[in-house]
Amino acid sequence: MNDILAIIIGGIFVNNVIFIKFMGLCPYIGVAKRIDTAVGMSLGVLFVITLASTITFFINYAVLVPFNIEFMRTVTFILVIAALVQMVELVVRKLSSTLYNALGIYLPLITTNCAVLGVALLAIKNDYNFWQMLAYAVSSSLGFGLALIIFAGIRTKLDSADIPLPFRGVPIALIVASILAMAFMGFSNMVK
Amino acid sequence: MRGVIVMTIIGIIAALTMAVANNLTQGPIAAAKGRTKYEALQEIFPFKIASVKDSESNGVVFFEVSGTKGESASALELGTTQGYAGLIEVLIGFDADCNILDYKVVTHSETPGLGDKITQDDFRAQFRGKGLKNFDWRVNKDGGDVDAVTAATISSRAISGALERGLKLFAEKYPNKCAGSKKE
Amino acid sequence: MTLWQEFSKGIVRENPVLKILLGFCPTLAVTTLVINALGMGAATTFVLVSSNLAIALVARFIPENVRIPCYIVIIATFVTVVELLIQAFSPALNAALGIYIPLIVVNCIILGRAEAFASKNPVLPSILDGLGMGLGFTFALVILASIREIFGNGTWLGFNVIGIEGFSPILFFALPPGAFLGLGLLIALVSAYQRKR
Repeated sequence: MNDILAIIIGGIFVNNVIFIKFMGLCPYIGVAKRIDTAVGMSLGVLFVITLASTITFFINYAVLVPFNIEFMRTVTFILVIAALVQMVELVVRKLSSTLYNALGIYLPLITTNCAVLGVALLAIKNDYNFWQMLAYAVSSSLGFGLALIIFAGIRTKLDSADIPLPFRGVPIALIVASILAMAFMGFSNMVK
Repeated sequence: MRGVIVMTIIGIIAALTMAVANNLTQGPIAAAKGRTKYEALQEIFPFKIASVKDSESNGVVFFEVSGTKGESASALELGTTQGYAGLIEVLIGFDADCNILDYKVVTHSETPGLGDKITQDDFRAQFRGKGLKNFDWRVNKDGGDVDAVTAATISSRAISGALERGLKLFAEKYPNKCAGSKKE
Repeated sequence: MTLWQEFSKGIVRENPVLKILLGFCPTLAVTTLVINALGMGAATTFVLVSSNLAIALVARFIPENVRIPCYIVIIATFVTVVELLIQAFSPALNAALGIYIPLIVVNCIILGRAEAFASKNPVLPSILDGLGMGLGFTFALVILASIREIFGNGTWLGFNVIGIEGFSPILFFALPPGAFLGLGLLIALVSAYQRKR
């Protein structure tokens, strides 16, 4: 139980996907302009990462390992993620139009979000069991969401700030990320 | 329909390419792994290694190392996920009294310039000759004897924890050899 | 455009990292040391060149609706090949780059070039485009890695370059915050230079 807690705190704070692992930066810079879009994206990512990690976990141990074709892990995982995102989009569109309106536009962007593939691969690389993998996937996406929402909040303030011209847009986003990453490093002694 | 056919063909070609690449590199990859292990063992033990015998039990690999002049020693390899950034694998060499001779970090992904100080000599030196009895394996922050790397307590804890576990596993594996050095 | 322009545009004028602002994930993650930046740059260039070549060859046979999945399979294949080669011939680089080698698959630069260039152009320009973009990517990585290694570790490509007695490296640059700050400043610098002209 203790290790699950450590993984959860690690996933959200200590090894934050964006600030420490540098994964999922495209949506961080592109999408996190307003808090409501950041929340929508975070929910989409939470759903896809959790589902993708679970499916790839079973594919890895039920297909790739028994047949000794682990070298095909990268290609299998990325295809599963791409197919999954398509399917989720279809299902969400059928099921609920409000949910589709909220998440729809973010879903295609998630395929090339390296956090999804990264979390799925790291769960295998770290030799996690099922529950550890689940905790890792959920907490990593929560960490992703936390980073996105914090940054979106800061960005609404940045809009009214007088930023020197060359720093507008991406550079200031990276510098904000730098300061936030410093803050997140303060969590590094939380897990024993 | 045409889409499905094209995708299947591309998929088959891709799978074949990967299978061929895998077949061609399997030998070199195994050789590279063996060489890395051999070099790591050679760095731990002061004598020239002639042969290495390994055996695995419960995810821990034990090594019996024999030197060119008839020396013999043992080592084991274990992994810990208590590090700052995931899995750390250490190879631990033991001296004749079942104490730590030296260790070598085989893989880690700790922060360069900080957590990776656990691989360096200044940090490793404090563990040499230490066993379960003559050392408190907690870091000094927790009241133990381990001088943690500044600002990398987690990595330091992971290593000292792995070494302590290694000592215990080693004592279990060779109860006769290590009689007397086991903690009551 | 001449062939030379197809090749050279990626290095400075349309640098994928500093100008087009793509591929930040590997840029930030592996630039703690110059040697890692070179390794990542070489691996990505290999994938870019080979996937551009393969896609330029087969693009006209691929129907529109399965275009992206086909490209992803082609790219992932070359990434796997590169991963196996690195494991076999440079275990040290493999240990240093770790998870970021398979993540080359989701480097937006590669899919971006496949979509925007290789699928619409003949083989030779596509190869040159991939090579130029790969070198531009490597160039950006090496610049950032130089800043981070010199200040954060006191070395450059492993050589001790700061000869000051008692210099203690500024760890900040070796850590994640230093990566973000370094890249942010670099991009601002490029943009300021552009404005001046």
